[in-house]
Amino acid sequence: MIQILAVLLALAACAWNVIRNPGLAGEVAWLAAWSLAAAAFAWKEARRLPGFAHRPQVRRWQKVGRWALAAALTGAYSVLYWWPEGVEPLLPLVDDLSTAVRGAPADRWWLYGVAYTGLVLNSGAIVAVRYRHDAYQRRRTAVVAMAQLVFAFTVPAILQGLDVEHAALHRDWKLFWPLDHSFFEPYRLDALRAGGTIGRFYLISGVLLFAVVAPVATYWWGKRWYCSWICGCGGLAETTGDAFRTLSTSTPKSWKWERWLIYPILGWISVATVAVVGAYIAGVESIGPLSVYAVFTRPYGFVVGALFSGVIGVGFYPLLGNRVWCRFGCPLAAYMGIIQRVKSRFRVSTQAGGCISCGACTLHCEMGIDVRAYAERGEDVRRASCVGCGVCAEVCPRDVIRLESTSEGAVWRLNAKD
Amino acid sequence: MERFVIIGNGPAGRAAAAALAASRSGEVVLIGREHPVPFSRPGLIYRAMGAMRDADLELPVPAEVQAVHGEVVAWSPEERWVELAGGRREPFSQVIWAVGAKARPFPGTVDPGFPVFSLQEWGDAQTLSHQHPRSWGVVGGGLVGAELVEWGVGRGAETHWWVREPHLWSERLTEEESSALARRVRGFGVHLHLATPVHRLGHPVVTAKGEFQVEAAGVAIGVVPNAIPGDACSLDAIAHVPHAHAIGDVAPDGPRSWEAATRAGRELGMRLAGMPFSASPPFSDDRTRCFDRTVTTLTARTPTWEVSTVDARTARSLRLGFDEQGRWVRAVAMGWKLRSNAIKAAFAAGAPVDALADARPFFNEPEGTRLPLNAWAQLLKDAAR
Repeated sequence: MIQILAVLLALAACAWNVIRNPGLAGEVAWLAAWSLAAAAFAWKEARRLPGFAHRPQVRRWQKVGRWALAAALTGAYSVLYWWPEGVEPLLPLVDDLSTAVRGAPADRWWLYGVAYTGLVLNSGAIVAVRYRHDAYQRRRTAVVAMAQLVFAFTVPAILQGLDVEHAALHRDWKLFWPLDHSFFEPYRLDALRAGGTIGRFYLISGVLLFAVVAPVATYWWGKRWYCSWICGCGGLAETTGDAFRTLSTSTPKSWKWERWLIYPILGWISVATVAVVGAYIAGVESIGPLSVYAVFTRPYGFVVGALFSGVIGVGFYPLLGNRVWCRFGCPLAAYMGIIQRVKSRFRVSTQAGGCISCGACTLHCEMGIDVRAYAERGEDVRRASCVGCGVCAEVCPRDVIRLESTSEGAVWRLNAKD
Repeated sequence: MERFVIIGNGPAGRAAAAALAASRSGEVVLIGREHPVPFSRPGLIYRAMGAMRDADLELPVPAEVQAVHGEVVAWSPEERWVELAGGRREPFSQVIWAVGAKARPFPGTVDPGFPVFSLQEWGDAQTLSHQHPRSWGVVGGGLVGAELVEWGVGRGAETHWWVREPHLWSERLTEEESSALARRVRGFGVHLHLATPVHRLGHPVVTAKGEFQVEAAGVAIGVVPNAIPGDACSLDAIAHVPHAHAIGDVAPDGPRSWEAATRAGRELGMRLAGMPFSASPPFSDDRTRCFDRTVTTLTARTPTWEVSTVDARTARSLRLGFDEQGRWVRAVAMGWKLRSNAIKAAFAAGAPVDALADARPFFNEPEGTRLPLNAWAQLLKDAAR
């Protein structure tokens, strides 16, 4: 009851801002109202018994409710991307905040950033209480939420507020190629090269992140270092999306779909980037009769960058779980997944002899891995898709599962099995 | 061609079927009475709590295994067939009885109409999932009893737990450890009554220490092996039939754990298939759970002496057992996550006390709970003395 009242209060605060536009104080008030609502839900979590069996499950909703939510989310993303006029009535919610922080009026992306970061922080608080008995979950939730707040929201806003030129610099620094599919596009490269010290820092670090940091860090810790601890997509998935994790299917068919989608997408962005960089270096805008933008950049940006990662990636949470994008589309996940699978210290180990086949691990795996099948055999889980969220270990009622990064795990694994 | 008929699709039967199917040494038929496919019986509590659905608990059967849903009502060791209810007969060249055990019925009086529930069979979980008593009592202090208690607390019921023994889980825990666990259970609002046998279930529930009013009760006082049909058929008789075998909970000295039953089934299946297998190391790995405290007991041999440390406030404990030569032979942990692979390797190596200085290989850290380094060091000091 308290939670419903808190949500109604927050909605009322939003409506008041949209209708009356009372200024910065009003905007702070609605943000505070949502935090209060999150606190009410966190309080409810704190009163639950420990253990996954006592947690709320979206699976219990009637399907029509989940479809309705999916329709609402995909609709909202579609409006955001392709009908910006539809978002304008909501800009009073964040306009004075935008002016105060970055010295510019609010636009749809600022609204999106505030909403996204607010969701991650508030949901993160709820999730931290939900998993309060597990040190790994507490730390991971705190880090991924702070990564979103600092790198994806605050730093770009501050840079803009300091009148640092070039919109190319007002971006999430930790977002790198190939997830940041436009990093090597001419307008970005031009802006970075002309962006002074900060621009050069972004350019060099952007290249180092994918070429050096990603493979080395994935070798040491598996791709969890990014996917579960730093990534903004992962941040939303692990916080707001946590309640949807049991919707990820673990059938062999879904595993096949994963591989048939994610690696071709990695191939696509790789080819497109080579073409774009080649054209940039050559100083041309087309390669033969093919326009670089029309053929290589724009289709990927629409299909993968907007439709898949945004509309479907989040919109389908209520239908396919909280990692739709990460499982089926993210090229960075594919890139790091190859390293994790072939040569990495990371593995999910299982204690032979302890598994009771209850299936809690498989049910809670957001990447649709049948962890139970490995645990029953006492085998390590060394799957490319594992993001190391650690929830399988947290829910196991017999403490059979453990995330490890050890030298024992760092062997070449080139066989096709598993 | 050999035809293996396995009666009972629990962990022992399923493991035997999988081993035989993998060996491709003949046809494999797996007969289950409760449910068409194998399922995780330990997971039934999560079905009863509504956290899992039927499909989540169902376990895959290898494609080469023919799964049959039915109850075996008769069999002929001489003519080598089993008969299902309905008259269908399945011939066999080898038969494996893995029919497990059933819940022991409450020995006292039950008032007519008083709702009593157990959590042993597939249907029990579904039945329980629809119940919402305001007050709830549980008879039986074992693992399933603890699960039924947690179920009641999770439903918001005022919950009483009557345990016959003077200490909770006395077969696994020392008195001090048991007291810590009991304190934690009471901290969840459970009315725990130790040394309290129950005589009658009804309105009221009559125990050795008084009467209680509850709307419904759960009973979990152990299991008894299921019967094998047939006039002259007993487990003793099966032992003399060369092509008949009994494994799992149904066997008189059968294991009483999911893992042990699985291992027994796999080993029998591989033996019947003529496949080489290495006998399992003689280490037992027992894990049970009471609310949020897992009790893990890893044993190579019965220890001669033990050292232990108990944190009563957090209900965490560690106990190490050593043999007369000072070799590590047992580890018991409550509330700490042990790495049983590493500990079993230390058992196999006959690790002495002074080889255990570094505790980190033996605990699930840092992903698990805070490493008990101080507690571990103190234990080793006590052991060295």
